[in-house]
Formats: sequence, structure tokens, C-alpha cells
Amino acid sequence: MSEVVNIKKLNKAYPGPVQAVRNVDLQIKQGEVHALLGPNGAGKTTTIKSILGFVNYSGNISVLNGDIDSRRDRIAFVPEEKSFYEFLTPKGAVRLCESILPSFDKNLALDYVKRFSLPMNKKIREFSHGMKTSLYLALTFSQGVDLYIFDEPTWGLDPIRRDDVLNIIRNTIIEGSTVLYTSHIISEVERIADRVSIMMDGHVVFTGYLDDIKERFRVFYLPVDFTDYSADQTEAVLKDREKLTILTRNVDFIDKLEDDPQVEITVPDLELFFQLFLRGRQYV
Amino acid sequence: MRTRWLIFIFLFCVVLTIFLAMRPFAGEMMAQFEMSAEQLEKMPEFFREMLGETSQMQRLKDDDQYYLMSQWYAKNFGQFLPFFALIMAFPVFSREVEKKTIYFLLAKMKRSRVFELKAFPGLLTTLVTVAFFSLVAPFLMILLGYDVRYTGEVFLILFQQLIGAAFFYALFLFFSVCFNDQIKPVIIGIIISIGLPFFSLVNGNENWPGLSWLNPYPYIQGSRLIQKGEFDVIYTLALALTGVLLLALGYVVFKKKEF
Repeated sequence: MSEVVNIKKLNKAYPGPVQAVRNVDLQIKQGEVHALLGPNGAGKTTTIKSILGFVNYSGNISVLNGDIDSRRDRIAFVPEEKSFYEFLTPKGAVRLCESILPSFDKNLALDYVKRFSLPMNKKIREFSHGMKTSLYLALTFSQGVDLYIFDEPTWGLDPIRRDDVLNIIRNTIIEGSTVLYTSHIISEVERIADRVSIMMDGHVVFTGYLDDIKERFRVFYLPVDFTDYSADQTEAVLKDREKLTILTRNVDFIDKLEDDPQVEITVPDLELFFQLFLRGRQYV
Repeated sequence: MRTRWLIFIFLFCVVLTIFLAMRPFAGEMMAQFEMSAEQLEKMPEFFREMLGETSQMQRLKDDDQYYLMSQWYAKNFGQFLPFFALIMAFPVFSREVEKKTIYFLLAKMKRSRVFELKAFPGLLTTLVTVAFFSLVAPFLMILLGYDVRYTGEVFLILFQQLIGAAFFYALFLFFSVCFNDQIKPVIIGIIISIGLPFFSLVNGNENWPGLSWLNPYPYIQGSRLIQKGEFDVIYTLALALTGVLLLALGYVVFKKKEF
């Protein structure tokens, strides 16, 4: 699979002591839904802003095998703040998009507006947060592009609308398109993503397929005084008063402990994997 | 932009109506002034200077063309132009950034295209509006039966107004690019618009040119053209060039700016 986004040694520092992104290498492959996960301040939005050329950075980023400025007509972006021109109605917004976006499908956009139950002739300024987000997504889904970038696309949506949006992303858009997606809601990432990257303190600390996580990783719950492990055998270690939790993909370690009846072992879902990765890296 | 533009169109219409309605009373007002001309001699010199050339003021009574030049171009309309440019320019970029709608544009278009799309329609609207209200005043005066013509001076003043409005638009657009909210560019714009006339108080001497040249209001109002019939080529070129440089600087800042 060819790479739709290829990031090499991305660094970005804002004024002040904190470096937002450090030496990030990230590849988004053709036709995948790639989720970028991480806590607040991990560098997800800065990475997306770098891809889109919104901020100055050092390193190399290619989008659709070229410079971002020559590919803008082939990408669509939903930012964290889904603000559109508030003096417009959805009808006016569709008309505006049709006039400035070459591949915009007006009829599809009007269908989405209808599907999301948005009032066609009401000013956007009178919309609720969820309605504004729905409209922004309707305008984005109708752009017919090769790469969709979503920054927290479902934030503020009710569960039914969120379900609709995830279905559209999973079933409609990705036909031939690629999606880069950030969210704090792990369950929705697990539902639509093919591959995930976890960012922490400006670094990408993990990239892999969701299926691989289930196939290769194991979580062991061990007695607190368990010491028979080394740092290179573990991905994350979490210790509390009652137990020691180890996330590992080390085959020898897994083989050694998985038949021990005293040891509790589970296949991690994304939520557990993510939590352990974030909380347990510091003890490795 | 449409709402702001419409507000100013309404304002210009109101001022234009007052300007036309006041014409019959200008003679009466000057007659009163004539009666007190002798008293002028007794007034302090600084006050006489402030009043300016009284013979020019007497022309208001009989000369319709002079009324147009001095009361429309040099006063009512001319004084509004920097504020009109400010209203048109200050939100062009700052509002997009403040409201976060800039991401929609930047994601889909090159920055050069965004700059074109945002900066030039506003400039064009400003210039067309200025040209319209500059030329419609003599037209309406002719319709009302006054002895007014489209002389070369009228068109030269129009040219100066266009250069001046473009300069102010470029200046305020630059602030719009620099700031991420709408408050700062509008406050700086108001301070500049109100503050520039104070430079006229700093007159020069043989060794020093003073600072009055930093005030472009007399140029926009066509003061020199009206009083001496002179068109200031150097000031025109300097103001036009400064406007172009400010526009270019705004573009460079926009190209480099982080969002």
C-alpha cells in the first residue's frame, strides 16, 4: 500500500519551554482509517496542523506524494472547532462550497443536510453546537476527495448522530479514500480505525493495526512483589497496592507465564491498551 | 462585509443628503460671517490662522462648484474615507481567525489564493464605493439645478481619494493580518485615524520639514487642489507606493503566519 501521508522527523516547537512535536515519523497508508490517539497536549493537533501547513515546522511531510499546497483540492479537513460562516444558512453554505470547491457535490451535501435533520433556511448562528458540527461534517463528506482529516469529528454530537457519522466515515467515505482521525473516544476509534498511532509528549510511541494489538499483545495481572521481568520484555508496567499489571508482546515472556494458573491474563482491547500505554510507559 | 458596507452606504447617503440640503443656507451663513469680518481684524492671530483664508470662505456664498469641493470633498466625504477603509479592512482576516473559519479556507486553498480572495474584493468594493460617492455628489447638484461641472479638479480629487482610500485599506488590512482578534486592529485603526491629523500641528522650518506630511487627510480631501489648484505628484506616488508595500507586507506576514 502506498503512503498518502508520509511524515519524517517532524519537529515543532511553540514559543515557551514545551516542544509540541518531537522527531515524529508517521505514515498514513492508502485506503486506511488511521486514528491518532493521545492525551491532551500530546501533539495530535499540531501534527495535523503541520500536515496541512497551518504551522511552520522542521522535517519532511509529503501528502499524496507531493507538497500540501499542490494537493489541497484533494483533501478535506474537519478542525476541532467546527465553525462555519454563521451569517449563512445551510443552503447558503452549500452554495458557497459549490462555488469555491471544484469537486464539491451539491446534491450529496443537501442530502446530508436533510439526513442530519438540519433546517435548510435557518442561520448557522442559531444552531446548537451539535448542529454546527453536523453541518460542517455534511459539507466535508460531500467534497469527494482522496484524504479526509478529522480532528475530534464527533465531539458534541448526540449518540445517534455520532453513530451516523461513524457509519458514514467507515462505509461511505473510505471507498477509495483515506482517513486520518483523532478522537478521545476510544470506543469509536476501535469501531472505525484500521490502524492507530499513540502520541505522548510530542512523540509517536506506538503505531499498529488494531488486529495486531489483539493478536500480539497480552496483559498480565501479577502479584505486586513479582520481579521476574525486564524492561525490554514489557511495553508498559503499572503497579498499585494490589497488583502489578504488565503489557507485553514479548513472545518468551508470554509463553513463560500464560500457562501459570496463578497468573491472570487478558487480551487487551484498545481502551485497556491505550490506558496501559499512557499510564505504564514511565515504569518501563 | 455586506452589513458593514451597507451601514456605511446609509451613512454616506445621510451625509450627502445633509450636504445637499444645506446648500441654500450656506449663503445665509456666510452673510452673517461677512457682517463680522471687521471683527476678525481684532481677533488674535492664531485664531485668524485657524479660520484660514476668509476670502475663500466667502466664495461659499455664490460659488456652487466651490461649495462642492470644499464641503463635500474636503469635509464631509473626505473625512470619512479612512474610517470607511477601516470598517472594510479590519475584520478581513482577523474575523476569520477569531471565528476559526480560516481553517476551512486554508485547508482547501493556497495561502496566496486565500489572500487574493479575502483582500482584493474588499479593496475593490472600497474603491468603487468611494468613486461612486465622489461622483454622485456633483451629479445630484446638477440635477438640483446648481452650477456644478465635472471639471478636471473633480477627477483629480477622485484620484487622490482612491489613492488615499487604498492606502488606508492596505494599512488596516495589515493589522487585520497581524492580529488574531478583531478588537486590536479596530482600536489601532481608530487611534491612527484620529491621531494622524495631529501631525499637521508639527510644522517644519527652513531646516526641518516638520511632520505635517505624515497626515494624509489634506491630500485625500484635496486641500491643495482646492486652494492652489496643484496636484501633488510626489505625495501621490509616495502614498501609492506605501500602500503597495503595506499590501505586500501583509501578504508576506499572512504567508508565514501560524494558525
